[in-house]
Amino acid sequence: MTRFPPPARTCRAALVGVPNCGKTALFNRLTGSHQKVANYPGVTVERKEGIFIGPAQHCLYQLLDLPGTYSLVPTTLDEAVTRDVIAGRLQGEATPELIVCVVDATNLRLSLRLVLELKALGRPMIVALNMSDLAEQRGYKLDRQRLAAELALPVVDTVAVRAGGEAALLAAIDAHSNATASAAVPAVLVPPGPEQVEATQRESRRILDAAGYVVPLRTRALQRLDAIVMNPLFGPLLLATLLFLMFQAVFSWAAAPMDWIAAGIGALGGLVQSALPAGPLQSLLVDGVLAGASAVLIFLPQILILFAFILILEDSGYLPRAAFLLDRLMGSIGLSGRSFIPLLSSFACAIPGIMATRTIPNLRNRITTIMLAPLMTCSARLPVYALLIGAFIPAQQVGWFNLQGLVLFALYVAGVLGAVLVALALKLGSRKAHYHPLLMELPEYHWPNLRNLWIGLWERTRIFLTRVGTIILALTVLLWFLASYPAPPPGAAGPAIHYSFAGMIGNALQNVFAPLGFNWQISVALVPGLAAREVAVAALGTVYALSSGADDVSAALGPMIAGSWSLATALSLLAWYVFAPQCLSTLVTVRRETNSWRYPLIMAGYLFALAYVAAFITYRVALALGGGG
Amino acid sequence: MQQLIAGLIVLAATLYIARALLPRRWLQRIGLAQAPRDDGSGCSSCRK
Repeated sequence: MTRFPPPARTCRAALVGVPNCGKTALFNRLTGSHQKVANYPGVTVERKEGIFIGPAQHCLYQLLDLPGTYSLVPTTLDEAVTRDVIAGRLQGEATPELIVCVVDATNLRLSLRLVLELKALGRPMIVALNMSDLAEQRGYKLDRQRLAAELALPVVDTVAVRAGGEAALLAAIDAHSNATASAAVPAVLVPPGPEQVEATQRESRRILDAAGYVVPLRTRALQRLDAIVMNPLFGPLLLATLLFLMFQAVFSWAAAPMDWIAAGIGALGGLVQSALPAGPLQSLLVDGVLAGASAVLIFLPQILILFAFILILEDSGYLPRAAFLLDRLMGSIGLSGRSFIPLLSSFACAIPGIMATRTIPNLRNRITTIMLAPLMTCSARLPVYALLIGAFIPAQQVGWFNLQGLVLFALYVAGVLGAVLVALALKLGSRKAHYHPLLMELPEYHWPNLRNLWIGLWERTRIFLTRVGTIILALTVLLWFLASYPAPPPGAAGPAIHYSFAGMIGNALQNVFAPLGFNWQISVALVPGLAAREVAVAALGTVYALSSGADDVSAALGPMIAGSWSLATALSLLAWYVFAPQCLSTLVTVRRETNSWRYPLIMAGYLFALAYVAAFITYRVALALGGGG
Repeated sequence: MQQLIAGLIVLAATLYIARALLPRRWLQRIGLAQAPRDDGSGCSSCRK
């Protein structure tokens, strides 16, 4: 944005458009601000305002980027904000004097109804035909002048992703603001009846026909692909197969890089031991920092493989189709297809998943989705699962499949089944459950962009390493202190940790967890593990390092627990982790999103109860089947 | 000397955890946090 002497007056304008029409990109182009442009609904839920001066330099424009909407009859909170700002009835927000309606030139049919609804308000308005270059490349045909004449509105081409692609729009805005200096007044919005909606649709089709709008035929290959992917029988089968292969790959491909990291950590431990004489600092670095934080670090390759699959499926356009496939299934358990993306995000982390529920229009559906989000297997569970599976499940083939991968898949399925059962219970307990059909635009398939994939994986690595280097490291250091002090009395038998604060806490907690088969080391690890799930792995690393006195514990936690726990205990701990809400950040996010402590308390209560019952049953059944040895 | 360095590291870790876990209001009282800022999450007019 170029700075000029202050112009004579200011003018308020607003960008309006359907989701994914390139509105935010155009806003960035006009105002020079930098924001994230994404396809998930809800990305423009925040109020965004920027300023720019038009080429004629007579007016300073204050531009609002409003949340995407399909119509002025809102179904979500975001859409209601857009309607209220446009109508001038949102408190504290001045009514825009000029509306810039952004439409996707490759999807005019979807946008034109909104254009006609906005035009009916009688406000000064410009139509920005965005992605016009793409439309031309793909063979779309449109007579712009005729379209402008039919709409009786200025229509300009824009290419938001290219420098200079906003030039025509800037000129049109300047021309329009010259003509209309009058202040905007609040509009009266009357919700249209069915006849009016049909009439608008008819008018939209008539205008497009008159303007010679021709959509190119999709290639036959893409049509065939969609016929398989969206088939009611093959679609879900394909989805299940893809997810299954993803979990197989997590174990099969990650083995070598995990060995490298373990070897590196072992070498570093040896180096510290040879460089420092025995004492508190050496113990802190080797038994605390290296044994603890590095026990979590080793699982980075598995997390990256999982995310590479998710990013590829997202970038290729498959994930919205999966949401569409699951819409009916979601409806049968009292949710809607809109819950799919928040729940899918929760497989990475429940926090963005819970925040993404803002786009669910029905409050009951939203609360249900929030309650279910922690049951989706987030990436923080992966180090715990991988440690226990690696230690207790043999790495053998079952037919074509890796047994460890099968168990991991089963744990993910257990989380989803738990969510289904909870959703059904909530549905039965509510009299007002009703189904909201999913309305979404399916993007075209395309090859995943390698740069996007690389950025996504790097971002995930950065987040993971930051957590290891901050909160996990700090908790490990504190746990080392609690597990090392006070020193054992003179002549005491057994490891020093038994006499420490951690030993005392572990022994006290063991009374609570003994029915689940948890020993005192697990009980101690669960306390710092309340902050975040993977911290429990770091805590186990530190506790076992101090219990054994072995030299290279940092790389050998798996074999050590395999030698001291029964299979029943390991399975019980896995069952505990499928349900337990061992993540304070999630509970705090629920408090913030619902503006009440009621829901996080209900969530913590029901999830801990479920975890206890599931772990108890698992332990007892495993013991009965001979898993106690 | 080792004991002193280990003690300082434990103290730093404890302060870090306190900052991360304790309510902001308590931290402000003991000077470990600044006044709250709008975190920008959600629309202030319509957030429920």
